[in-house]
Parts: sequence; C-alpha cells; structure tokens
Amino acid sequence: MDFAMDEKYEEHRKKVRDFAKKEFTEKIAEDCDTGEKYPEELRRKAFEAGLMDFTDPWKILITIEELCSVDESLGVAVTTPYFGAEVLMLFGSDYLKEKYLTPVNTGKAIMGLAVTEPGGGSDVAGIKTRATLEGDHYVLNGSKMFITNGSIANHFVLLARTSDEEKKHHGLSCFVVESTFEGFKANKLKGKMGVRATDTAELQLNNVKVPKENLIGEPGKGFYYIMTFFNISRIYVAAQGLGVAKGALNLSMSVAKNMGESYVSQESVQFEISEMATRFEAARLLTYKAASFLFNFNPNPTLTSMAKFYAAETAVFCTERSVEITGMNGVFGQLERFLRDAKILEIWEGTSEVEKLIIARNLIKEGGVS
Amino acid sequence: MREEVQLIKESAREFLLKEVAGREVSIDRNGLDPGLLSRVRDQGFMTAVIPQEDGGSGLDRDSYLVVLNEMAKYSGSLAAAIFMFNSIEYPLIRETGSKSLLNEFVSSAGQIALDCRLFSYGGSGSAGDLYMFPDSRVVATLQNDVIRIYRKESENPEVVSQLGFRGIRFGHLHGPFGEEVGSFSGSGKFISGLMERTSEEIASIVLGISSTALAKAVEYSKVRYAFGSPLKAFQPIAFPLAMRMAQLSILENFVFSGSEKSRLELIGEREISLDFARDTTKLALQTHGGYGYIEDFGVEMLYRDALFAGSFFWPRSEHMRSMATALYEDEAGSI
Repeated sequence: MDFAMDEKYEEHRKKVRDFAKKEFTEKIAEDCDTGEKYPEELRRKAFEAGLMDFTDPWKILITIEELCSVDESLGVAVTTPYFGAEVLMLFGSDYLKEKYLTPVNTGKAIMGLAVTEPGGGSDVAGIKTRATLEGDHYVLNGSKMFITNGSIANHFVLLARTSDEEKKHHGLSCFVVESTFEGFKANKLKGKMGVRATDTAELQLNNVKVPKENLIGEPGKGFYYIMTFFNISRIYVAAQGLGVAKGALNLSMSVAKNMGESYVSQESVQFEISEMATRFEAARLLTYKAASFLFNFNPNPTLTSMAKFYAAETAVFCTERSVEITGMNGVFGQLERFLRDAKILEIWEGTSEVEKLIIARNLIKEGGVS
Repeated sequence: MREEVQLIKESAREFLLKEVAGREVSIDRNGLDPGLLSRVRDQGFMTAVIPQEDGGSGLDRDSYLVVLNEMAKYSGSLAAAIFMFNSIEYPLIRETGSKSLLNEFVSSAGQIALDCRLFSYGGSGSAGDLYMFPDSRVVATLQNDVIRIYRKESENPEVVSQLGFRGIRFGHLHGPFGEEVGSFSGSGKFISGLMERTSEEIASIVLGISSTALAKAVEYSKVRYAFGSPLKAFQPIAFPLAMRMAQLSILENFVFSGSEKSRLELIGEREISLDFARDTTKLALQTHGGYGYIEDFGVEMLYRDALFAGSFFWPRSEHMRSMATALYEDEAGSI
C-alpha cells in the first residue's frame, strides 16, 4: 500500500493550485457572491487551461479539491458545466454523445442534470414529471427544483416518469432536453445562503416535445442510470468537501497567526487546529479509497456514501471551527463565505441522512464491514 | 416566571407580532429601518435595563433577558441592537463619567459607532478600522488601552457584509474624528468585565434564535413528505428534533429561572447555549433540505445569526479562560 500519489498528479495539483491562486481573486469571489453572478470568464479560462481532463478521473478529483480549497463557489461553478455528462457517456447513444457531449467537451456548451423536484429531493423514485410517448416524440410535463446550471445550461439530462410500475423506480427514464425546446422555462433561484457563483434554477416543462431519439438508453432504466451517476458524482462532492475543509483550515491558521503569537500559541486554539486537520486527513483517505474503487471500475456505493457524508460533515465542521477560533475576524470576508458555501455539501447529491441510510442498508445486506 | 416578567414578555411579543412578524427576512436583507427602531424606542425596549434615573426604562434583569429572548425569536438583529445599546454602549458611556453625555445618549437612544477591536482578542486582528453601526454620529475607538468617544461628521462608510445579524451595518471608518467628548483608560479590564457580564444576554438571544429554528423545523416536518410519509415519521428527523426541544426547555428553565447563579454557571450557560444554538439551527436547516438553504425560508439566517453570536463577541478561548478561573477561583487555563 502506497499513499503517495504519482508525480504526474502532484504536478497537476500544483497546476490547478497556481491557476486558482491567480484567477480566483478575492474581488471576483466577492463580486460573484454578492451579485449572485456566474463566472463565465473563469469557466472559459478553466476550460482553456485544461483543468477538467476526462481521460483521467483522478485529475478531475484533484482539480475539484484544489479549486474548492480557494473558493468553493467558483470551484463548483467552473467544474460543473459537465454536470450529468457521465450519464450520456455511459448510457447515451453515439448520436446523443456526438450531438450533446461534444459541444460540452469543447467548451461550447453547458449541461445540467435535472432530477430533484419541488415535492421531493431525497425520494428520487417518487418524482412526478411525466413523459408520454406520442408518435416520434415524448411530451414532458412537470417541474424540477434546485437544478445546477438551470438557467445557463444548453441542455439537461432529465429524469421523468414514463410508466406507472408497481415498483415506482422501474417506471423512470432519462432524456436529453434542450433549454430551447418550446414549453421549457427556467427561473433562476436567487438568495441562496452560499455557492452564489453557481447557477441554480427551477425548471418548468409545459408540453415540451422531446424527440424519441433523445431517450437515453432504455425506457424504465432511468433510476438505475441516475443512481450510477450518483455513485460517481458523490465522489466529486466529497472532493468539494475536502477542498473546503482544507481551505478553511489553512485560512483560519493564517488569521489566527495574525492575531498574535500569544493567541495562536494557546493550546485550546491549537487543539481545534489539530482536530480539524485530523478530520480532514481522515476524510481524504476515505474519499481517495472510495475513488480508487470507482476509478478501477469496481464502484463501492457504501464507501462512496461514507466519503460523501464524512467529507461534507468535515467541511462544515472545519468552517464552523475556523470561524469560532478566529472570533470576530472570521465572521467577515473569506472565512464567513467558506462557512456559507460549506453547508450545501450536506444537502446536495444526497443529504447526509440519505447517505447514512445507504451505508446502513448495504452493510446489513452484506453482513457488516469487511 | 414572575407575573411582571410574564407581562413584559407578552408586551414584547405583542409588539413583535405587530411590527416584525413577516418582515424577518426583509430586516436581514435590508437592515433595521429607522421607523422600526423608533417604535422600539417608543416602547421602551431600546433602553430596557437602563435605570430610570439615567432616563431608561428601568426593567429588572429577568425582564430584560426575556425581552432579548422574545426579540431574537423574530429578529436576531433587532435583539442584538437592543443588547448592544443596553449592555455594551450604555456601560461604555457611563464609564466616561460624563453625565451630560450619558443623558444625551440615553435620551436619543441612538447607537454609537463601535470600534470592532473592542470584541477581538486583546484588541488584535484585522478589525483595524472596522466599526459596528458606522453611520452613527458618535464613535467609540480603542487605542492603546484607552477608549475615546468622539462626535463625528456624517461619512459614507465602506460597508462590509457579515455572516449574521445582517440587520446591523458594519463598515470601515477612517478618522480622524471630530471633537473628543469622553474617554477612559483601562479598557482591558472594562472589556473583560463586559465579556463576563453579558453571558446571560448572549444566552437569551441565541436561545430565542434556537426556539424559532426548532419551531420551523417541527412545522416543516409535519407537512413535508418523503417516500410517502411526513418527515416526522422518520427517526433521523423526529428523534433529534425531540431531543433538541427537550434540551431547549431545560436550558430556558435555567436561564430564565430568576434564581441566583454562580459565576461558573453564568459564563457556562453562554457557552452551552451557543453550542446548542449552532447545532440546533444547523439541524433546522438540514431538516428543510434545499429549501433551508434559500434565504426566503428564513432558516439559514438563524444558523448564520447563531454562529455570528458565538464568534463575534470575543473568541471562545477568552470565555473558557473565565470559566476555568471561576472553577478554580484562581487564574487558570492561561497556557
């Protein structure tokens, strides 16, 4: 067992860190936060810098971790134009890949994933948006909520109900829906607590005609496709959490040092730093372990959920403690933004409660931990 | 609860239902407006615990704590503004020994621009020229252990955003200010006295914030469905909410008991209440899921306010040192 990463990954980490330090300026971060602006220019620069290398998932993980350690909101904003792409990569036809993935991979388009609905986030099988086959197209009606890139994406991988099966999750299918289709409407959600550089919207689908060929894979397999996607995306959310935890910890140490030698030398302050750092390292080991299973084509959903749950909790823990140990210096500026941004990690891509249910149910089925 | 305290509580609640209910998020977004503050003054809440001989309302301490608690249930910012006036600014002006300044301060019931170094570790940190209530015409600065009060000209401060209590403005003031109207030295002792004396007030405020957070979470868990059942049917939702409600009740019974408390208990109830508020408001946000993360629902504001209260008013290590000293009745926890 070797915990050292290959040199090429350390080089990649340095490249991303240098990019973030240069481009994620405090002014941009603050402007995007207060103005709830998507950083389109940064997205373009990140793409041109080749930060999201889909040929190597470890590089993607490192990119997300490093960018989020400087600013989660900007980090997520520039790494999610591809959100949902894995569903198309794994299950889409060649036609769909060419039409919808190529422009995303060449930086010309943004995509999103539309699963959550106003009436249910955790209960994926309970979604109500309906797709009815009428000749050579499906007609979609319903609404989606909290959709990342909702008002800026060119197209979405969208989950809808195509049949009423006894087991609800058997009647779901995935489609590619373009934002220009008639009857499609996006309402940008304003006033999020954090990650305000990211675009979030409510989507309305009113008799939206979707060509039959935009069905992804087989009808009725949508739930399975989305769960497969979550097993990938949750690793990347865990990486977001690692970045936030690390960024907050390092920043709070720097602020505490500026408060004077007599302050940072207090053992109660040092113990908080130690606890944050230890939890961060534990979260990183867990995340990298779960990632190694996934990236070797042997995903372990139990580990993935553990990583997502624990890294998110660690991010929130570290941001809270960072603000606490820096006192009034932490409630203004960068640290308070870290804290506001962190909380979403325990909610999106499966709440911590859902992750814990997955972990326990899998363990009970498998007879315990190995 | 004594009858007169109960009456004050009802009076505060009546005022809040009329003047603040439904405007909580707007206050957080746009600030405490002068009209509301004027009505708070008219009702006597702004000068609640200031003695009548100094022109205040002269409420007793138990009533004051209840007022802060009720205000915080609707607006943490409003509770904080009242707290600042009564528990920080009034003692500060009184300490200058200037009767005329004190009369002017209490009768106008207007806030003072406060140098944020007053709340930092030994006056350290990046606070620099950061002031609370920067628009005020009177300013209190901290320089080399001396607190000085000046009149200042109208100035457009560079406003900064903060984690919580956003109804209160913070901004940079650069000075020099105008006429000095009062000063006193020995700020270190004065500040450490304030820090300890305000423990109950901070506890009252964050328990009010927690009370609203829990009420919102409980209501939401009744009406929100997942997997075909209301959220309250699920143990991971219902159990922690029930536990928190029990803890809140126990904490409230202690904080508002009106009984005599030891120094250790006084400082301790602040720390226990702050931890409770942080975790309870976070639980309320989590119970609301994605909706809790949106300002309009007024839940994320409670989490931010609770964390702000726990961090802004002096670092925790300072409070812990006071607690340790109270425990040993001797200097302790200094390493």
